[in-house]
Amino acid sequence: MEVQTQQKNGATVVAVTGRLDAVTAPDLEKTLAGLVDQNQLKIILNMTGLSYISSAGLRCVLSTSKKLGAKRGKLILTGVMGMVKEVFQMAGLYDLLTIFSTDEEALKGG
Amino acid sequence: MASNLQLDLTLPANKENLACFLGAVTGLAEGAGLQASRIQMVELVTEEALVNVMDYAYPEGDGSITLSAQWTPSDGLVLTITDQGTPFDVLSAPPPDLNLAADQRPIGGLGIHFIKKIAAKVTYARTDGRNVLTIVFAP
Repeated sequence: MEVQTQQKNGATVVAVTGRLDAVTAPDLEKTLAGLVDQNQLKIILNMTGLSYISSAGLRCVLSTSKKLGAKRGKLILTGVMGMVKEVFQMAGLYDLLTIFSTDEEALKGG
Repeated sequence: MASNLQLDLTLPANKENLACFLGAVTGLAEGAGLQASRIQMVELVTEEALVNVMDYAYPEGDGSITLSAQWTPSDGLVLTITDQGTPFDVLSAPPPDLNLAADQRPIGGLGIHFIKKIAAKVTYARTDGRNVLTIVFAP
């Protein structure tokens, strides 16, 4: 799994690629927790390059969403598709989280 | 059409070995001719079942997991995950409440939910001091 972070129009865009499973999720959790601690409160998590996600990955997303909510921040997901979308749907989370197709839409509407 | 396939793999129950277990199962599933999207779901279920054991079965220290996978054209894919850890019926855990808002959701419980939702049949038994979880995927 690889994580690339960049600032864009007042938001932090975190692009994650590869697999988000029980082994790799703690690394993403650490990266996102660090951003929240630094008060980066609008985070766009771009999952376009993610080929696989398990409950460990979902836990990381939920935990970050809660931490941001507590600070009146926001987590937005983009590029959720394929198997990753299916897993979010199975968990009943796809309609609950803020999800846009692209970073551009997320920056405009999120 | 592939003939019957079988694998048995025993490794220490820690996450360093997760990739090896998953690679073995996906390799067998590919050999069986399963579609890529189906293999991903098999992999997900396998991960969730294994990680439960890795996280909870051996609180005092080290132990191992035996993963057996068998594929036949008539019965589909049968996974058996066996450990000698603390007695734990993973199927008896309460299901997650999917009606809660995202920020209300407790963080756990999803792994077992996926196993039950994806597999055709899941059973647990405690036999000879072992937890045995059997997961069946329809052919």
